[in-house]
Amino acid sequence: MSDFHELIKSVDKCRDYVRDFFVYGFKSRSDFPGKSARTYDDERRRIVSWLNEYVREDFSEIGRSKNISLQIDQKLLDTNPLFRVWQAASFTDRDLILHFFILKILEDKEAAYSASEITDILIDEYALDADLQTVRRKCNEYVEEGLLYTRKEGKTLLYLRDLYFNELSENTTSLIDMIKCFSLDLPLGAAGDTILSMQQEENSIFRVKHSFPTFTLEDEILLLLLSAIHDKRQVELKIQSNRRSQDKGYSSTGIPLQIFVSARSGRRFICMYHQGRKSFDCFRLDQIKSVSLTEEADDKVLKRARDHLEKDRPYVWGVSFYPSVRGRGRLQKLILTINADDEKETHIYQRLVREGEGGSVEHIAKNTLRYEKTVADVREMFPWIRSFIGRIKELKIYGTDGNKLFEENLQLESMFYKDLERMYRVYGL
Amino acid sequence: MEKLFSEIYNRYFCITNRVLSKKGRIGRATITDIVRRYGFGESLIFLLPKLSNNEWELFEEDNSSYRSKLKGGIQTPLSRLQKRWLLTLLDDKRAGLFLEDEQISTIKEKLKDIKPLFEHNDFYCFDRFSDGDDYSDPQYKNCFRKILSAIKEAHTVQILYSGRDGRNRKMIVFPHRLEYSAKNDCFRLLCFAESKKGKRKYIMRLSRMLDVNVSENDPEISIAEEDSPKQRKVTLTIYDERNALERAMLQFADYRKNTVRLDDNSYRCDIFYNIDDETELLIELLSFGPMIKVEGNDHFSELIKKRLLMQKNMKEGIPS
Repeated sequence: MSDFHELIKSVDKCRDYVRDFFVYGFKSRSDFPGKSARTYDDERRRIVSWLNEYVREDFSEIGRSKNISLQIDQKLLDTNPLFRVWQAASFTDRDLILHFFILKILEDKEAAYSASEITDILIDEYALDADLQTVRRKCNEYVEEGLLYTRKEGKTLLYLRDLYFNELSENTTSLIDMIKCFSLDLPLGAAGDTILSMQQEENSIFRVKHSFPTFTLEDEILLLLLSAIHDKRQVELKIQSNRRSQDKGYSSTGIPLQIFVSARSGRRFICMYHQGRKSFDCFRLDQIKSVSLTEEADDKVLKRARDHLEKDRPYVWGVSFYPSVRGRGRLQKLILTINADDEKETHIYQRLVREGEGGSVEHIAKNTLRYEKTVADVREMFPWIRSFIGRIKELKIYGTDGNKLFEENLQLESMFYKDLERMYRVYGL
Repeated sequence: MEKLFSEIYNRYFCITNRVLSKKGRIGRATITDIVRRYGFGESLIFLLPKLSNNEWELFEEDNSSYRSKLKGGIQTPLSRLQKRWLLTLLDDKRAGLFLEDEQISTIKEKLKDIKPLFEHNDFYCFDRFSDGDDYSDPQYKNCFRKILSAIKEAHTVQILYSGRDGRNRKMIVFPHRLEYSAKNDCFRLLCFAESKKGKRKYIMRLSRMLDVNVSENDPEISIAEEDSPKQRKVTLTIYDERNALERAMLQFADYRKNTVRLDDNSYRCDIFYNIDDETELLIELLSFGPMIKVEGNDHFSELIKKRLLMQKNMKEGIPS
């Protein structure tokens, strides 16, 4: 008899499976070495069960293995199906029974009962087999979750229920609309989705373009990091690459300062200050396996780190604070000359301005624009620069200290042009 | 410390509450329907017996019919996580599109003992476009609210719209969805309108709308996404260097796609896209450089080759 169940005790075990199935869409049993066939089958069955109408199963053309992937269609864009992972926490029969009966007993806003009184009501009015210790434990759990709060009367601790959603405002229709929209877009939108589920509401108004469903899987890591940022605590991260299953991973400690987000890829990173090296590191949230909050950060160090970050951030194109290819000077200046018709291609100027992260854009001659930007690591800009292929008249990269230009960084320039040459070859041009 | 993974958000709890909320006596068939509709794929195996056998003692049973012992369902108070997230929402620059200032203050007052889950400057989005919409503009707000109402009420709207050429146009459309783009930081309206060629899908940026009027006399129309033009397909080979495979899979996450492994280092990926997204997709594919090759001799492949030829012919500045 299988002990398979739809519900799980922790998200940790299934996170990598969900991510790998849905990010790649072609992974099958052989792509999960080190996992038993039974574990793989159970995880796969559970994921199919949670996401049934969004899952497509098919056979790989190579290896004839069975794959599952996320079926992207218009319906999918109204929600994030992976929020369902957060709705699968296992519970005991007692948990469910107490949930419904305790919240019913405390339904009236003024109702204030001790654990002992609640136990009596459960036994006398509902004929349930209840004991005081279990009831008190459940009430305290719900105080911790914020569903209940306590008031003391003499030596007796009374439990009362907290706010209902419809008590927030006389008319909650607009608030519901707002939650429908923002749960798809704002960080930790899964929290908004839980409100919609409890209010029995579904979104059929809003859609978010450039949304990345799988990143909700990191939301527990994100919660811990936000908590550390607000409590000014240092953290120890356990990091492991998603690509290499043999990778044993490594640890990193530091002061978490800010979450860096890419709107184009959906990736999120924690920017941390390393006190010993006096430097910043950014780690991808989906590669962080655990977060431990350690000692409080020293106020002076924290202030210095934040000031330092404010000063350095304008020079960070993505998440790299340091040049990967060094020349003279800590910074690199990129000068890009672009061909764009002055009359018909004004959108190119607009693109350079709106996508250029504050770089300067100048019209230097007929049908010619020059874009300049000083960054820590110019290689992070290459994908964006490649999006102007067909118009690039010249690309120059210099070392700089922020003011003075040093010699040209030919190594970096050649990296860019070598890729371009390779593209010509790939397409037989 | 708040938990996101908690039994209080469990889908079984929500389904059980739906069952309890059903008025009067209900039969097993009704419970089965609710579990089938709102449950996970195998909830009929795992949840249904618990409810229909009354294992949780939530019902009074009489001749195979059930009545809630609780005289209906329950309301669950908001958890601290939910309250903190809501408070964060109220500080978002887009909150004013939905709520009046007074309503925001009332809700904040109700949540005054709670700290927001995060501040907006806890996050730094480094590649968002800089020309996002002005959500505080009264005209924008007015258009947004009228469209939102029209979508909910299934009314048509007449939109006065500033075209790319600077000329104003009027259109009568059937609003379908409000789409937010995280990258562009803007709202667009997805809508349908009758044209000479039949029903056509349009995408209109809200910031270009000058006025919106909701019509009360709506012609009969059924809006279906299938009315949109057929999707096109582009076939790629992805060479997994510099983590290109993972980057591509994430970047193209919101496109329908089908990927297969060719060998240890290369993958074939079919991406299905709408014609409206073609330029954006072209730019995204170019950004991968030699790590992605567009296969075939179709329209899309020609677009890429044309760009590369333009670049190759622009000798100036390219080292020999």
